Amino acid sequence: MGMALAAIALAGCSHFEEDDLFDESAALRIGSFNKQLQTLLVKQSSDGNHGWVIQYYVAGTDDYDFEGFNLFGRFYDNGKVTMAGNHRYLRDGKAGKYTEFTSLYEVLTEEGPVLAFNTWNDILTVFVDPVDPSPQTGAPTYIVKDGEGMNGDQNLVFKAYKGDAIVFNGERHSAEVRFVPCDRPWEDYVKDTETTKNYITSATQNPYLNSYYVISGTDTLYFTGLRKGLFTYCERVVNPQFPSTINCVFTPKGFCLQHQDSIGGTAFQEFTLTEDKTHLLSEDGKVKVILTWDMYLANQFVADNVMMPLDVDQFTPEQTDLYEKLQAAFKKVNSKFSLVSIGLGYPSSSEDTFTAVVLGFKRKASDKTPTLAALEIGVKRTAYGTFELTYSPDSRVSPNMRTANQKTNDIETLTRQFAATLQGTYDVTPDNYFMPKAFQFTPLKGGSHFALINE
Amino acid sequence: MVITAFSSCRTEDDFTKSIFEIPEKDVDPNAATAPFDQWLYDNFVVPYNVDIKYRFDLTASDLQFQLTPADYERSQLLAHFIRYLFYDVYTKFAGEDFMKQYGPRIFHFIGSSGYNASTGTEVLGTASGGVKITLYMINQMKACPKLDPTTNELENPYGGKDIDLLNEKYFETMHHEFSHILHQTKPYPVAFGQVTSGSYDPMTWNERDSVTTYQLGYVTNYASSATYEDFVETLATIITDTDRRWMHRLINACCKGMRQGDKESVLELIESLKIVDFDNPTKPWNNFTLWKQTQVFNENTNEYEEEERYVLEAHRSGETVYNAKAGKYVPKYTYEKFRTFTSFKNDFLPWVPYTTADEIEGINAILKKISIATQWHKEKWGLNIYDLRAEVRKRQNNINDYIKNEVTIYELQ
Repeated sequence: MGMALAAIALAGCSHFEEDDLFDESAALRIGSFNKQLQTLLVKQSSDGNHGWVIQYYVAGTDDYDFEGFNLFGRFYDNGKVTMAGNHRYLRDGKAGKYTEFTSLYEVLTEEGPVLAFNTWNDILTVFVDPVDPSPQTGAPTYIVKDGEGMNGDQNLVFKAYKGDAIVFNGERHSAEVRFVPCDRPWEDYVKDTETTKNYITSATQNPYLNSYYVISGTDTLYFTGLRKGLFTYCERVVNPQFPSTINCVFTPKGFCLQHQDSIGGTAFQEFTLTEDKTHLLSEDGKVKVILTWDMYLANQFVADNVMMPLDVDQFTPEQTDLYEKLQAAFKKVNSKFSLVSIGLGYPSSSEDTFTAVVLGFKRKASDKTPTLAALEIGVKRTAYGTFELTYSPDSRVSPNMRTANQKTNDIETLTRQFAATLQGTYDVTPDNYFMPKAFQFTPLKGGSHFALINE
Repeated sequence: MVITAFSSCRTEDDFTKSIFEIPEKDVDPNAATAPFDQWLYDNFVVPYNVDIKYRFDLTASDLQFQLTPADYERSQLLAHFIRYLFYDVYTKFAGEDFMKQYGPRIFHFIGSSGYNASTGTEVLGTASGGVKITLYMINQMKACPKLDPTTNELENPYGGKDIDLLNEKYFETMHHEFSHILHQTKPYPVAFGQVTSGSYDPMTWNERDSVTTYQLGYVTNYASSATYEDFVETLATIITDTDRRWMHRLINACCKGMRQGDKESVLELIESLKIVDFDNPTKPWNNFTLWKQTQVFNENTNEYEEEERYVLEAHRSGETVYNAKAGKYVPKYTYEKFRTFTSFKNDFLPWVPYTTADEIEGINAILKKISIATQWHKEKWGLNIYDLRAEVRKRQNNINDYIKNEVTIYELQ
């Protein structure tokens, strides 16, 4: 084991000198290795450096999985360690608040080097404590029974060096823990990570704003649950039947999974947000993570009483003319009504439910939401970011449209003409790939440029 | 409380030599813990050959439990208490070499308890072969009170409940385990185990409630598991149990009846235990109500059966069981209020009936065993156990002065 450890150390990085190790007995080699491991921990913690980010995981229980946690550690030569964190299991009212605590550590020699945090530490040991954490922290209740806790470890067995990182396994429960050199002050790391996390995840419950494609070449998987730190991959976004989870932590650049996975034979673990902030890329750039923003858009066209207005500034002259005529026609129906918008969506609940070109009209300008009258149009996501709009002359109209037609059928006629101008196949781009509010439609075949905006 | 028994017998080894090397100076002055390590060296290693392992050692712990390390500051305080309330007490009465020769060699501190989720029990302390004592739940100890520099008084000093916790969680374990060491060195009389030989139960002792335990003639339910546990529990409870718990025990044990002469022996015991304010009418043992438990529900026959015993208010069970005949849950036991007593000595004791039952039980058994155990303690070791109790209580009453004047809690360097 001692020789295997030394071999791993040498293969992993240039931290240790080969000649120093192989002249000694196995026991002494392990002792030397321990000392060198400690030296590395301390060196990264010395003045001018920012210590370590500890990407810490617990084993969890049969009933509950936990996200990964970003902890921080600064190691001193005299056996002292200062740790920090802002996780939700901090006690005494500190949950979610940046906190530091100093305790002791040792690098022990057992069957291999073991990094032991062997006195209580407020930041780390709460994960090991065999109690229900909820009374102290307000964390989810009834998630673990006394005697289990979260099954974290305070003794970490050295596993490998991977680049600049040190990988350990918990001694009792084997959860993987990564030590990564920290590149900035800890509170900055916390703040920057929170900013990135908020950008790439949504706080809403909408499933499509919490799901992601993971794409490598022609292979695509769906992932959900990123915001909770539980990257759950599944066969479909809504009501998945066979979910499977990899825990993860967030980083200032994106997020990192607890362990490597692969898609189509291409491995991935850590993802970084691109400069244009449209997606995240794996370490070698071969795997992409993209929010399912286009599924979110497609879902808007089947959601009750939703209307996304068209941007009038992008109307063609023909569309402008038709829109002005529609506004005049509404006045003819009832001078008190005003047409305030035209867009795509789904009419109010009625016996006829369909995706539609939707007219929004108000009796008074102060009315909060417009009443909708609709004409059926087909809107279909045909590929990632590609939508097809199809119009049929015998498409249905909503009851409000029929009511308007009783006074004049100009409204339906004009709406049909307008719908015909939208027919085509489009390449769609959102204004923000992680929190989309507006969508630009660029014609690929037929149609013309238009944009859907959020009121 | 689960405490493992000793598995090996002692030999005639010379225990003045330490089981581990004591170098001239064992403390690394550069270590973050150097001041505390030095204190341990001066106060435990040198005088008593004792290693206080305040750092959690996973390989030396019970791997069936999920355990946490002890808090560094609480470990320091407990080490002080072990010295002040345990080692120094025996040293005072038995001399300098006594604990060096016979005391435990290693203490291992664990922060949490060991929960066994499947049985719902938790481990409070374990001992290994008389050498190592593992103490759990260190992190539940009250932290060391800080000194307010303006008043020179402790903020939030240790109170009665805090000391009760110390006794219950740590010191009862230590005296229990140390008593094992002593009786394995010098065996106790066979007569002790014969007093209640018919009712030891190693398998289901933990299912006995305290009323049953006392009325069978045991000081604790763990004592009823085996004679050697009975012996050490008898000694440990004399040293550490509170007045209230002792009086509670005596009341319950007496309810079964007593023999001629037991009344005087009870009063002598109370005198020896130095129960404080024994005659004070506001004390709970001078103002309590007994209830007569009259029936117990038999789930097999779905009928109540006669079962008479007396219990204190606190022991009235609220347990319910399913009555299949009635199709509903019913109380397991039925009670009648029997009588309120206004004085243990002048009202309760005169009421306790004399029994001529052949079996020795209840208070008579407890008194007999206390007599045998304390006699052994005196004859074999020259120790008066009641003096130990008094000394421990005196020190506990002065604990805040001790903390103020003698305890330094070191920060990490």
